Amino acid sequence: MNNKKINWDALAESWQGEEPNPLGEQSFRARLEGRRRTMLLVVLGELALTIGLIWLTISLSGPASVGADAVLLTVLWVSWAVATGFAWWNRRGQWRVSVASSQEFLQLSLDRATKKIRVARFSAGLLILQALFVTWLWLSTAETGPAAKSPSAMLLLLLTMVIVYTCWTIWYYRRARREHGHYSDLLGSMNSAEGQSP
Amino acid sequence: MTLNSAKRDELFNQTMVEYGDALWRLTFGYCWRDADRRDLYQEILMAIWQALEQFRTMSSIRTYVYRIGHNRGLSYRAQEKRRSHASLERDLIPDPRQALYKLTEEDRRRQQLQLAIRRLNPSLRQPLMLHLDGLSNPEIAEVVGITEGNVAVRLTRARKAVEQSIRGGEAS
Repeated sequence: MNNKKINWDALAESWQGEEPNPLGEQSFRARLEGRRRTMLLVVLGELALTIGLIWLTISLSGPASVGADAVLLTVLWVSWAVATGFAWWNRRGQWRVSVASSQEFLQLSLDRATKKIRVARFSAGLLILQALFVTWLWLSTAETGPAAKSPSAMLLLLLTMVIVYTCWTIWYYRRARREHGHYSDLLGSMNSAEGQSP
Repeated sequence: MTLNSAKRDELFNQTMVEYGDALWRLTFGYCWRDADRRDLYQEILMAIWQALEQFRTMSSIRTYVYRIGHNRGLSYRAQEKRRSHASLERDLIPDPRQALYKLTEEDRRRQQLQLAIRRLNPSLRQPLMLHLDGLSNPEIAEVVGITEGNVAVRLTRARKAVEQSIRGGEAS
């Protein structure tokens, strides 16, 4: 075995002597601009959804609105309120985690992953409840309800929405599980302090 | 209280001049490929840019920047979806096509150290990287979130593991 003494001062010097970072400020500014545009698009998308919901409410809640429309709208708004309330409640204590110490950050990230799993379960529950409700509404108002004019188009629309929503929920759930596993392993290895990487 | 845009810009530029290279070195502890390092580096800058808005001038900018950098590195690994653990391990082995004979003694030493650091458990890798960057034990304790005594223990273990790894590399 080679027992030559390791010079740590020379190693530190060598470590700090790595080539300077090759990325200029320009590429960062471009990414920052891209992130800003994405944020703007998200805000505009949320705004469009809200306006759409309000428009739907106004157009369906006139004096000529049938009972089924009123029930549908009420459920839509209640679902929106429940989902928003849940999202707000679920995010509490999760702001500004990036400036915490690594141990705190890992614990908070693990909590965040747990909350994401909860979001996926909540979404799945909401989807099932809404699907049951729409089916009930469909069956009970087959002659006069929203689906009376073009039932096949309505069915296609509903099926598409259910499939898209289900796919998203499964993808989100799997991603959250993977993140949870990663942070759990990392937290375990950060606390173990046992030499070599697994 | 939040910093206004001009002040944040000024502080960000100052931070980059002072810690840009250190943050680039930091990426080495979390990514193996050069393209990933570049990506992580940009993500760290983004996180610092966002966090500086809330920065209190009483805090130490040095530990603040390192905390954000390391935390971003830890979460970056969680997002590496397409790369398996095996492919990450393969990257630990230096490219045989690389002309080793062209490396200077300094390059060779750095490469050995980098390989040894890559093989460390994150709990040892992080304090050692901070130590090599010149942070004191109390500063390392603040960044990692452990006691100073624990920092000393981890540094001893990390040094021992790196020494073994370097000696093993020299012997083979």
